[in-house]
Amino acid sequence: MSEFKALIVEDDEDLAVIFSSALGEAGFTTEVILSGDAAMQRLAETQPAMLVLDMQLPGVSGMDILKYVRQDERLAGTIVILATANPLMADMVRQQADLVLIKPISYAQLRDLSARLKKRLE
Amino acid sequence: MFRLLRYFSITSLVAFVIVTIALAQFYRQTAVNDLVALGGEKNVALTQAFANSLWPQFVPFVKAAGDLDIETLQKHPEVARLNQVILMQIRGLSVVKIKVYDLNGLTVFSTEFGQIGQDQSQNAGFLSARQGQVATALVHRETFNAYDAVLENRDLIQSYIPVYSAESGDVEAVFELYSDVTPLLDRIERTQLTVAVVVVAILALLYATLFLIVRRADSIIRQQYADLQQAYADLSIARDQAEQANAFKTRLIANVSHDLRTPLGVISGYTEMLKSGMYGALSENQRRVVQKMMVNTQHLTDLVNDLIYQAQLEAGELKISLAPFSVIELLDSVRNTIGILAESKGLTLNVSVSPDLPAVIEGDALHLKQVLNNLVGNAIKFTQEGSITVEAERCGETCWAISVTDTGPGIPPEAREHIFEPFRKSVSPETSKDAGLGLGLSIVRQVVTLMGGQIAVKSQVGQGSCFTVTLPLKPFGEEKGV
Repeated sequence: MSEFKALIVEDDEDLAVIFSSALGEAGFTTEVILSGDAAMQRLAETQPAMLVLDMQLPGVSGMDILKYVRQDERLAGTIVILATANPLMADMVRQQADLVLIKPISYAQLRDLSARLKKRLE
Repeated sequence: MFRLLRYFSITSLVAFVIVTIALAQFYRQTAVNDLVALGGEKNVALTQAFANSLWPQFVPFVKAAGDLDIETLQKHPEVARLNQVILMQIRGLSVVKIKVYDLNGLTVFSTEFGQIGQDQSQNAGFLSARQGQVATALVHRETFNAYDAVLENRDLIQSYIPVYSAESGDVEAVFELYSDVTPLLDRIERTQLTVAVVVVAILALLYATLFLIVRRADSIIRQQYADLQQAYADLSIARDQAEQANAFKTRLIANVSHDLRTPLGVISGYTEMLKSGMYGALSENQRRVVQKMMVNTQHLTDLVNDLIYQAQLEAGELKISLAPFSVIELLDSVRNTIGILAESKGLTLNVSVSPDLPAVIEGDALHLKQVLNNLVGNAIKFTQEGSITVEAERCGETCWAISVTDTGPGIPPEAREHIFEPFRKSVSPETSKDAGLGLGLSIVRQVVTLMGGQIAVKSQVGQGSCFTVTLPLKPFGEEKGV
C-alpha cells in the first residue's frame, strides 16, 4: 500500500488544519471532517489507516464514534488517536484507543508519534 | 428519645414499695420472734416456780388419774384444789389458761373444766414436751376460754412445758400454758406502722432529691440531644453544599479545560508551524518572537494542566491505569513537549535510558508524562546555564527510577523540607520571576504516590538539584508500545 489515509474528526477548524498539517508531514493523506454525523457517514464508506478523533463533538459524540469503530470488523486495522481536553475523559477511554493525547497537543509530538505509528502499518 | 424521668419514677416507686414492705416485715418478724421467745421463757419460769413449790403434793394424784373415768376425774377433790392453787399462782399475770397432762397425754387438769379427761397423746406440742423439749408458738383465737372469762380475738403464746421429777429427774408431767400477748402484739404492729411511715418518709425525701437531680440531668440530656440534632442538620446542610461545590468544580474542570485547551492547542500548533517555516521563511527577529510565543504558550499550558490536575487529585478522580509503554518514547515525547523551553534558554536537555531497563514496561504513561513535564519544566525554569539530564534506569529487581538532574542554583536544606507542599512556590533568584502556581511538585508527589512510587530530592546549593522518582517495575514481554 503506497497511500496511508488519515481521517481527522475535529470540530475546531484551526485544530483540524494543524492536525492535518502534522499528519501530512508524517506522510499521511489527510481528510478533515468537522462533525460527528459526517464522520459516521464517512467511516461507513472508507477504511482509513488512522483516525484522529476529537472526543467532544457536536451531534454524534467522539465516544459514540469510538464505539462504532471498535465494533466494526472492517475498521479493525484502523489506528485510533483520541484527542481530548478533559483529563477525566482521557482516563475513561484510554483502554479503547491506540493513543490518547490531552489537548493542547504539540504539533511536533503529533507529527513524530503518527510517523512512528505509520511505521507500524508499513 | 429515652424517657429518663419516667423510667426513673417507675423504678424508684417499685424499689420504694419493696424496700418499705421488706423493712416493715423484717421488723415485725424480729419483734414477734423476740416476743415468742420471751413469752415462752416466762411460761417456763412460771411452770418451774410452780413445780419447785406446790407441784410435788399433786404428783400422786396425777399418776393415779389415768385409772379414773372422766366423770370421777372432773369431780375429783384434787382437781378443785389444784385449780385453787394454780389460780393463786397466776393471778395478775398474763397467763390466761393452764392445762396439765400425765405422761400418756390424758388431760388431768384444765382451768376449762370441760377439757379434763381429753386425750392429747397425739398432740405435737405434748409429744415434744414429753421428750423434754419446750414447744412454744404464737396462736390466734377468735374466742378463747380463759380461767375467768371468754376472751375474743386474742393473740396467745402457747407453751408445752415438761415438768421433771425432783427425785429421778425424768419428765413427770406436761404443762400447757397460754399467755395473752394481744396488747404486746398491738404495740408491735403500731411500731411496725411507724417504721413503715418513717421509711416511706426517708425514701420520699430521697426520691424527691434524686428526682430533682434526674430532672436536671434529663433536661441537660434533652438540651444536648436537641443541640446534636441541630448540629447534624447543620452538618448535613454543609455536606450538601460541599457536595454541590465539588460537583460544580468537576463540571468546571470539564468545561474550562475544553475551553482553555482548544485555543491553546491552536496557538501552540500555529506557532510551531510558523517556526518550522511552513508559512514562509522567518527573519531572525521573527524567529525570536515566535520562540517567545512558544515558550509562553508552554507556560500557560503547564499552568492549565497543573490547575486541572490539582482539582482532579482533590476530587479523587485521578485514576492510575497500567498499560505497556516504551520508556524511550515517553522521554522523547517529554522532550518534544517542553524541549522548546530548554532550547529557548540555551540549555542542553539530555535524555538517556539505561540498557538494563526493559524497553517496554507496564505503567501509566499518560500521568508519568505529566510528572516528568513538571520536573523537567521546573529544572529548566530554575537553571540559567548548563544542562538538564533525564535518566531512566533499573534500581533493583522490582523497581526502576527516573531522575531529573539540573545544574541550577540548588535548593537550600531548609527549603527542601517544604518543596512538596502545595503553594510553596519559590522564586528563581536570578530572574526574580514568579515561578508558577506552586502546585507542580505537590502534584508530582501525589501522582507518584498514587502510582505506588516515591520521590526524593538531593541538592547542593550552587551545584544543582536531582529529583528521583522511584516506581515499581513491571516488565512487559516483547510487545511494542506507543
